[in-house]
Amino acid sequence: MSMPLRALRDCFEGVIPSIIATLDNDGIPNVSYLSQVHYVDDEHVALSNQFFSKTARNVEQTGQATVLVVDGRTGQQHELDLVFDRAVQSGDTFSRIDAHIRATGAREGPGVPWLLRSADIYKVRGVQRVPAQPEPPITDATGPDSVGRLSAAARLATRQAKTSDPDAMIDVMLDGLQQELGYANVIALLADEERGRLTTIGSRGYSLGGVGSEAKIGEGAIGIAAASARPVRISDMSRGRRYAAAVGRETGERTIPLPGLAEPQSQLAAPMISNGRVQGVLFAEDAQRFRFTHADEDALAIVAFQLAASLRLSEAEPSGARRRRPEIAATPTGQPFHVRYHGFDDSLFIDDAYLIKGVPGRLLFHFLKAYGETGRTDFSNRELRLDAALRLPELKDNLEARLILLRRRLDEKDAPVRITRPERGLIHLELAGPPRLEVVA
Amino acid sequence: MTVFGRLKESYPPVPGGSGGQVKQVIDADLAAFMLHSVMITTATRGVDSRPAIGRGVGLRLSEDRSTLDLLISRAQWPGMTSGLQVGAAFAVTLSDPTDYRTFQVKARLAQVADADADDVILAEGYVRRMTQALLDLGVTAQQTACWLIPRDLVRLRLIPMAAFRQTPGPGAGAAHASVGTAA
Repeated sequence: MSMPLRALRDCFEGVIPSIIATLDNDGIPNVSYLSQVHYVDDEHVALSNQFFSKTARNVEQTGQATVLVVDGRTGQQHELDLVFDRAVQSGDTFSRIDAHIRATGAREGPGVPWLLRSADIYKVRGVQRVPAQPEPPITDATGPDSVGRLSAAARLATRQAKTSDPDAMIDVMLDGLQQELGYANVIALLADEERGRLTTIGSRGYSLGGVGSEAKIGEGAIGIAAASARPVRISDMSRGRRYAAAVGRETGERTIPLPGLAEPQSQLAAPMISNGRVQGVLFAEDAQRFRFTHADEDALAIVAFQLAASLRLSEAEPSGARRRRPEIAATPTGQPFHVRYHGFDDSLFIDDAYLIKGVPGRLLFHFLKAYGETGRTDFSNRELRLDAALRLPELKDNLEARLILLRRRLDEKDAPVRITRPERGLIHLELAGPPRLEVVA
Repeated sequence: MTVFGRLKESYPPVPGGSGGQVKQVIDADLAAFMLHSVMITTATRGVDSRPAIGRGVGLRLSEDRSTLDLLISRAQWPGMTSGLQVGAAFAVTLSDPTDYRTFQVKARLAQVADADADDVILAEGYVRRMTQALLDLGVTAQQTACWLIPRDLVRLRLIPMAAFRQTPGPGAGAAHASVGTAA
């Protein structure tokens, strides 16, 4: 092989369609387009088995194919001499291709099912550079910036490691992604498995903060990264692909718009995994093509794991947390405000403006109800975890994160009720006026 | 492929010969499609018996649409253009990058020749139009320059044998027209 496949990685981004040629037993050729050739290792590539039956039949007969791949940055073409090795219906390579196809919508065309049946692994017997005139500049896809990205990730990890407060961890991460890794537009989202959603807990680089906005698990780059538990990187969202990669944006009364660029070209989403579970997703996007490299994908994955682990550790109750004697607060003197709570989706409206739904909505309703019944304004994480009425089985893992989400959303909305954290494990309710509760089924 | 099996015996075909009426593989619609700005990719069996790939840089149809001249750069596609023998089987795919409409024509090689002055003019015109079409789609000039090289051209005269629709989606691979198929 004249050059390692690794050096051709920009050919495996699916930006420019590849071409596959095969022969049948009589030597009759067939040539067709192929949306993407996937890099497996330095000796193998995988083709998503979505192509036309003639190609499939020819490979069955002869076991070989010639594929023309095109560097999405420079246009340089390479001819790959392929020998069929095996088909896989599961495993790492299969899942990676499946996730990528879902995230990019890189199906062959409208009406073609995008479910990946199998991925065909081919051994690469030879790589031939196709002459061009003038020859395009040679790019090294292993990247001169690999080392730089690694150092940036280490610096960000260091900043993160010095933080103990979960609220600050999220801000340190978002600021660090901008300052250390240079990503202009970033979002951190937490997984809400109960509802199959990811909820924004913070963002940078958008006109709207979007705390509380949601992406569907399984849709768009963010949702696929969560569902597949692996990073998703898209280098070119031009042409017909934007529709699929648009991050499962929802509209309606009970929604907050997810921050997003009008015309993103590059997207990168890395799952925040800790203890074997996807806790959320870190996301970056850019209006420029090929903005994120493989090194960026690795860097974001590393810091996302660290954030997931740090947030998870912060959920651990400090032993013997002092339980403050509940105080009866003075009745707030400001304007009364109206709170409407819908039990079916835990959505909560303040003065008819949508605030939030799901677990944070349930928590705020719980606080306000308790305040209305007893005048209490102080609560502890511990009692919330133990309160069966809250129906919060998963809270033992991410109560703190939900409280952060709720606090940030209330602040962003400039709401007449806020929560503060007088000390770790405690929640204090601040009211500008008396709440009037209304419960709708 | 029974179409080719049968044709092998009677190759080269005799227009209007004893085999009955020669059907038109390239109908007027397909001809119009082929001659506007479509990307041309082609494959044949290379000297090493592997499939060889090339990109064409110009097409010409004879008046009766029974032959198709394909222009291709020898310097760029040596695997495709060396050791060619009359009678060799070719596949030519034509694809409109604006809407992915795609057809594949199966053909036999009738003649190989160096491109003449007319061919060069044809190729340069094609490359100019195709480049503009691709630029309009956001492809860079550097990229298109890698793909479309109108130099060191060879002219492959092909006899179309069958045409298939290959536009992605239901119906992909369906026969458009072919010699010998029932009407």
